[in-house]
Amino acid sequence: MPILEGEGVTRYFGGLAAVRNVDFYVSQGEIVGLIGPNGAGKTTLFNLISGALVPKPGAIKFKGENITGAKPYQICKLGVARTFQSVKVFANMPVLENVLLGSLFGTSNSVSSADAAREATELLEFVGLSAMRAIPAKDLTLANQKRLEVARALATKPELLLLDELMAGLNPTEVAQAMELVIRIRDKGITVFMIEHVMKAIMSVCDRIMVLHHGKKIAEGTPQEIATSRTVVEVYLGE
Amino acid sequence: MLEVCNINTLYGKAQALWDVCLGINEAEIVAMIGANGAGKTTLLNTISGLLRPASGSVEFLGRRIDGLPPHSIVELGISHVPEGGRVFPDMTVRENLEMGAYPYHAWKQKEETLEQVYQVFPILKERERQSARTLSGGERQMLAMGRGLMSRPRLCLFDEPSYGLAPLLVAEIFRVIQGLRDQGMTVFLIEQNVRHTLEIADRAYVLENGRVCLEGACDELLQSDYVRKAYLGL
Repeated sequence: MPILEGEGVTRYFGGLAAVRNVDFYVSQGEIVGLIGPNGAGKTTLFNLISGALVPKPGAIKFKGENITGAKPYQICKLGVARTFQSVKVFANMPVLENVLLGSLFGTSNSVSSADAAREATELLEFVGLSAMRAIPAKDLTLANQKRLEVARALATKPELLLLDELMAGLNPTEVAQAMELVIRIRDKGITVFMIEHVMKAIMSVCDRIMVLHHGKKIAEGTPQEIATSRTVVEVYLGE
Repeated sequence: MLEVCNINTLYGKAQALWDVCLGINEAEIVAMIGANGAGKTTLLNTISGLLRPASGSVEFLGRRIDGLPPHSIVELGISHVPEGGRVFPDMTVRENLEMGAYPYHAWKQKEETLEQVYQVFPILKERERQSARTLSGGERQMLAMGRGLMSRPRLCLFDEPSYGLAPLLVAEIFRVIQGLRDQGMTVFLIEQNVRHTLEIADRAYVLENGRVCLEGACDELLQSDYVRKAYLGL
């Protein structure tokens, strides 16, 4: 059974269909990529999954349960966590406290603050930000703020993680490290659904890729199939 | 045109730039590459006056500009396009562009510059009346670049213009930057898309831990084993 399923998911902004009648699924343990030109509706789809927006019409199921219309915090408690394309860290809070917020918010209700602190420390280690734990989040580089968002999201103990452009602002050597991070997340048993423009990364870590264009799903398949799709090359990859 | 000399910049007690020196000649594209956290954005902020160096000097067209407020530096002809497509979300696309034209000499030619910007980025013309918050990430990046051009700068500082852009658009943005140079604009470019950058730039500096550790012509850097290994992932 897919962990995440969408049926006829649609969302208009005024007269513009940002996401139009999209069916999709993500299976347990998969890394699925979501690509498409800028403005194709990728982040809107993530907003619909995470409850920041409600599909009209359309339905989204998580582990078989209908989550359409649920609030973002409820969806997060069910086990869906996300990062943001334009980063949303708590700017004046130290790095560690940003992650602690995720730990204390997470699915288990009986976390002691000592346990939460230990866990947050481990997660910072996991994403490679240990050395920066005490500084305010706003003093991190943009790319590190993205990693902080990953740690904060993981702290809520998700089963599904939505990553919105984790690799943006990284050089090729750093991209390789970020790819390794995504694989380590999956190896923890977390399913990953990721938006990314860095083709080298998406092609090598994803099991499956979905392509959006003008709000519609125009292709879906293995990285190999996507890389050689005439349509995808035309609208997205270029020659 | 721009001469940065022994700049040291600190955040509180943490030093981000150490004795940084660099020069940019007219109508050149000069690139700065370096790891995430190396101090690239700090350097741009120091040039555009958002940060003040603890010591060292910045000269533009023979005049000291370190210590001047950012708006005066814009008026002298330096435009800073910040990373991550930072625009005014509640203003329309057109209003955002007009905000870029506030220096007196640019305001007089506002309509003409606007047409030029629309020619470079036709999508902005289509979206003219939309509020900037409704733009996609890539469109926002183009708006930030367009706004930067509205002050009719002589030197443009671009902080990761390809950030978050789809492959086709990345190629387009690099073409636009090359086109600006061909029209006589001087460009200082910070980028993580190292290969593409070294292909269009004339010269480049490599920044590591706040220090310039390497500089040279781009074709030489592309051949350098060190750059290939540390920055191109080869």
